[in-house]
Amino acid sequence: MLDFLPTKLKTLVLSSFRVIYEIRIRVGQDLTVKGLENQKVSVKRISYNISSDDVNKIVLSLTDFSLFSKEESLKRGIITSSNGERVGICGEFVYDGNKIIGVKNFTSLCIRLPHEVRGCSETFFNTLTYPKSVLVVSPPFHGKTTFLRDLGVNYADKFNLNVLYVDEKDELSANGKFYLGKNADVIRYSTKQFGFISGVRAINPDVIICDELITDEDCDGAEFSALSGVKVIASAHANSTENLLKKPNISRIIKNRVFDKIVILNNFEIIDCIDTESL
Amino acid sequence: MNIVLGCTLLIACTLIGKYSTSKYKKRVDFFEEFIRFNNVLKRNLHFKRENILKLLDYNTKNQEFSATLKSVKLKICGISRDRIYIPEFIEERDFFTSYFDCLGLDCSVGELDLLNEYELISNEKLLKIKDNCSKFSKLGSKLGFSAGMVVMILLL
Repeated sequence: MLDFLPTKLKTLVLSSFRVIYEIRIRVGQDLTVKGLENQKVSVKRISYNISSDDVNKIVLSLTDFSLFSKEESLKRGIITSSNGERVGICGEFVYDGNKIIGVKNFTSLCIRLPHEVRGCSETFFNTLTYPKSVLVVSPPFHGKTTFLRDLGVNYADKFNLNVLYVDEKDELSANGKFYLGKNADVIRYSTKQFGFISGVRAINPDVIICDELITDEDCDGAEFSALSGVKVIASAHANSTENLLKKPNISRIIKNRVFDKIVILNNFEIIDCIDTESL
Repeated sequence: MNIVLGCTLLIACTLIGKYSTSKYKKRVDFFEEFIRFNNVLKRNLHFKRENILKLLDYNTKNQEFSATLKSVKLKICGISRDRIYIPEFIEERDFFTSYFDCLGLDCSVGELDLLNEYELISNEKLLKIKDNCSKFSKLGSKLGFSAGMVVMILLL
């Protein structure tokens, strides 16, 4: 865990909490660690002199000392480590016209540690009598990815379905670190649109799971799969159904009945479950 | 007895002469292996884009080149702070050190430019080294044999 951090920094971070959720590294500022203490999520600031050279070395270590091997991830501003830690990167993005060609002068990192919570989707899953397409909604850092992964395992193991994970940032599988179900296939580091379309054509899935529907292309891919008869389980950022429906592309696919159910999470718990027929 | 001693000295002188010029052959082998390794890196950029640490596990029968790659890997991982191992028979220490120091620090386009540049330079160097090898490598064993013959004749 956190093998890409320098030894001293890693020791400091690991000794701050028993369960760590997030680490923020900013040049010239204290380290910030969010974790679980006394069953409450809290934040600690740790005094550590972080230089820009430190941050550059951490990014290089994240890419296994080969920037070209994680070039596309760098340009997207997020790299997933071999242990599944998601590292958001801030720095100077270099453009050639409209195209990002590189990133330099890294200034801060946001490291989020994945947690597998088996059974977190059980309550919802037990309400299903047959497989349905589900949209999981919450603001960032409220457990969508963890919920999606667990739901995928349930679909694979209990409904005995072929589940395809379109894992654009390798957050769901973390290079095979997480159990995804006995009938799981994973397409890693491809765009969601490609994953949906080639998945339907080549892998013959019963269900496709992906995280974070954001762009029109993501939504088009989900719609393509649903219209092809494949169930879709996906997530989207929003803090309420009202705000969710304000997003034109998401609203369109909900109205086109791509999803049967919308599950709204808050602080890792289900606060609402909506039938899309009622919308 | 003198014949036996003379023959032994002849063989010894020939072997010493051969060993003293073996470095030319070793230099050729090292450079050829380096160029092969460089090509592996180039092909990797066009297709799989594996990271440097995996590529440094490159399978080679050339023990000296294998030792160089191992030392590079240890240095990159921060396990060793020693300089990269470059065999004694290699005069172009800076050339190889700068090559391995620059690997992995650029995007795919920049990396490919770097590999192409080093391929060009190393091919030129290899031609010169092969030329030297053909001139001098056999000279050593011939001189050694000649010296051995002289010693043998003197003995007899």
